[in-house]
Amino acid sequence: MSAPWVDLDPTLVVVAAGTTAVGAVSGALGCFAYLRRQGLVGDVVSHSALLGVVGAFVLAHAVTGTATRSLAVLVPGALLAGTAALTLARSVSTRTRLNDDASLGVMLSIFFGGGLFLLRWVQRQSPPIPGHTGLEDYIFGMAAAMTRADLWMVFTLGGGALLLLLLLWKELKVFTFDPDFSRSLGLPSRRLDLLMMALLVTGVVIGIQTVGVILMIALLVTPAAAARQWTSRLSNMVLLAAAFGAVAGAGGALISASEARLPTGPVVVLLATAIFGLSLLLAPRRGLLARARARRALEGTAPPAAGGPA
Amino acid sequence: MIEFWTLAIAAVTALACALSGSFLVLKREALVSEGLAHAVLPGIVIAFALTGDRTSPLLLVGAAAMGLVMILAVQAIRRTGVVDPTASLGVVFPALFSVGVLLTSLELAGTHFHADCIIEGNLALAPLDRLELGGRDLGPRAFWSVSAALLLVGGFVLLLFKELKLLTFDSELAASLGFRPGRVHVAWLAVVSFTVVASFEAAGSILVVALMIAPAAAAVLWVNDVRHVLCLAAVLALVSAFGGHQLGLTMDIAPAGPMATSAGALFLASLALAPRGILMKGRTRRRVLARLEVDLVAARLQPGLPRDCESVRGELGWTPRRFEAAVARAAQGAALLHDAGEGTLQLTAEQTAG
Amino acid sequence: MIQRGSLERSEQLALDVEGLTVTYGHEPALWNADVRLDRGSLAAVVGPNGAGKSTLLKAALGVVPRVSGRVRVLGEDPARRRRLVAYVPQRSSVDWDFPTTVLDVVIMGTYGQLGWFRRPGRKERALAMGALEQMELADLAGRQISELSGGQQQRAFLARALVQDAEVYFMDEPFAGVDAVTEQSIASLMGHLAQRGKTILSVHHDLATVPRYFEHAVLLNRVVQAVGTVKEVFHRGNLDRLYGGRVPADVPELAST
Repeated sequence: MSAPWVDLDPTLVVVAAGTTAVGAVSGALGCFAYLRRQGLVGDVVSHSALLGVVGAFVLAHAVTGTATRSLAVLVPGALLAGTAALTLARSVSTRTRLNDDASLGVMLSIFFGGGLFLLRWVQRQSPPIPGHTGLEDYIFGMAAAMTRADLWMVFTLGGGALLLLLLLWKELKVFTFDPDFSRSLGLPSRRLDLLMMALLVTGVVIGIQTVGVILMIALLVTPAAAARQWTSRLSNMVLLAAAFGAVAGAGGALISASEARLPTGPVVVLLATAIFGLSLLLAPRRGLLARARARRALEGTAPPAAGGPA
Repeated sequence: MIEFWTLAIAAVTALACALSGSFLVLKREALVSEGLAHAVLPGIVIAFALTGDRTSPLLLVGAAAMGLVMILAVQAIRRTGVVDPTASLGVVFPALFSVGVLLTSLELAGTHFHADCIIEGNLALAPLDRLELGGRDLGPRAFWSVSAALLLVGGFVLLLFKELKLLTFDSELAASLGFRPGRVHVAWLAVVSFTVVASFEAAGSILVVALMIAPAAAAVLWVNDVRHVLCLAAVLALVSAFGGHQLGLTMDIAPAGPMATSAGALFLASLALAPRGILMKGRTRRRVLARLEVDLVAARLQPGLPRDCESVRGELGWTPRRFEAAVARAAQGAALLHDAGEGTLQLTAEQTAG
Repeated sequence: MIQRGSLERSEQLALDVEGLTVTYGHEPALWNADVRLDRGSLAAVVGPNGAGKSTLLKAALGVVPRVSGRVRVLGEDPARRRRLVAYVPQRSSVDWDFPTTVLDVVIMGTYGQLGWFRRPGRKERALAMGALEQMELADLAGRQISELSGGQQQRAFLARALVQDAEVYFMDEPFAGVDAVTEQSIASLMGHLAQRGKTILSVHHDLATVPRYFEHAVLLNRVVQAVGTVKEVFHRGNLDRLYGGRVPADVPELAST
């Protein structure tokens, strides 16, 4: 009997590998945004990527005369737009009385609205620019159309981001936990901040093809929130979040492959959310069941003798 | 005639969004609008599947109910205390939106529910969808639903203004005063949810968020008083709606993108021009620093005793250029005498240190 | 009348602040501050809220921009003295629900010595455990920091500072919100360090205990009102001026001006 994977559809393998990798990378990178209490920043980055993608497409077409949706063109556009939106949002919230929430929301509206505007304009062009139809896929994601080239992009960018994370692990850890103290050690806070921004933007950009700009936030936040419930070490949290993201990604690809009408993105998100729900319930110590049990145990026994922790 | 109704719907939507968005921005929960705009999708789809009718009012109800579900779910997660509050929003709304997208892909009730409408709405066709009661055409349905939203929001703001203000700026004080900030808050969010839903038809999710946040955020850079913020946000929202609509007509594009972009452009303009925007604040800060520097130079001098410029500069730790600029300013204001030949500084008789 | 205490001028001051002005917005947080501390000083910074006490520490660390003046730590710019300076920030500046253990927090104190890219190893672990033992926290080494009491958290922060084996320690309200036992152990740690010639500058909120735990005091309310030994400067007259007549109660009566 031949090995089971021999019969697998190669496209499915590519898609599954891609969504798994995306889930893992964004799960890992999302932990830092989560811990810095900036959980929704990823939403702005992903929405602004639309303007980047469409803008790069338009620019490339205007300059070269050919229409291409090549990743070499679109990815830098997305990276640039994401970084611009974040930087602008940061600048607004530090220099005016508006806080993070409002500045993120405004940038989201500007960049996504602008992106949509540009997209519709492109689609209105007559004679029509070839290849523009694929641009809209970035909104809701189109994992099923993932090619080997896309997979390559995910692995290289994602791998690069994870490598940086590994190399600068302790610096990023102390900077996230205690920025004042890290500054006193001499760590350059502005550069570290920029690095974290770059990592986040990278994580978003590799994922938007899979789940689309709207749902990307879930891949960043949900695995991290789930992982947090299970462990008290940052390294384990990041590993666990990556694992949760990978499982959601793989599961999503497989399920939506078997049910032809189901788009991959939403399935991945719902799997990740289910993992989160289970974590919230079942995690030892922090989980709801565990805490309910502890409360009942406490109520059932006599109060502890004097001399608890100092 | 269609033109008139399109503008009317756009205007009322802009007003309702701006008013509700103002308090969201002031209370620092602007992104709740983003969450609501996405979370309501499954409600719409389920209602559609049940009635098979795109124009049924049940869609509004279903969507609003979903909005409430989102709010309650987020609050429940926050209350567990083990999840970061900001992140709880980011966990809930994508999940709900995913449910919605999956449901639409199953093509319930046999008809295709276009995903685009969710994002940008369908303002162009909205006027054609009429409300008929007792055989009489009362105008576009969308107009009535956003007007209802405006009435709700307006009514809430008028009747419960004190409570909203208190809730926004000092919810602890509110609790200590005896009325339930939690209840008012949820009620308010329910109203916002309804506004999002009612605006959806015409505006779609991106425009709803843009109209709720951008005009209010811009207004906050110009004025201080809450009432002024509400008024200015309303004006800015109207301008965005009309301007964007025109732009959409000229370029033959669905109005949602242009309207959102207009709202964004107005915000950027406010950033540049408003007294509390980045540019103006930068200028004020430079002015304050300039005055500070003059005071610091003066503080190093005693009246009547000339001091060597270089030693003063050394104590201050400034570059020669910065020092000369400050001295020039101070000399202009006749605060001190600068003898360039001797290289000395002296406090004039009228000035006393401190 | 502004009174300046007279500290002995030794060749290398631990901290030499001259004409320091710092501003964040419209009002200067620190104005024309002069502070000179000898090595081995055990000094408290006191003053009302918003007096710029934390700002003084941050300026001494070289992490806030100055409008005027200069700061020297052990004779050099603060940026060049990082290895010799340890900072204990306010406990409230950190999210204690961060997923990390007590030992891990203390090991973070070794990051300065490790430099970029290197990982903490056995040597760093041993150093950290040593510091934890000194702060009587060794049995909690593996504990999640969210499970610690206020006093334990503070001791973890101090252990982190100890690991840096610094010459100068800047602390921001280390005694705030801790139990009596922890207060004792912090005070004895400070005394220990001072005895070994280390310098301590600590923002302190409880006036009543200043004479008990400190030898020197910096009276700060945007401007430096007085710097000197506790005996010289920490008395009713100065404190009245410092707090604008509203000195918080139960300050021990000392010799008046």
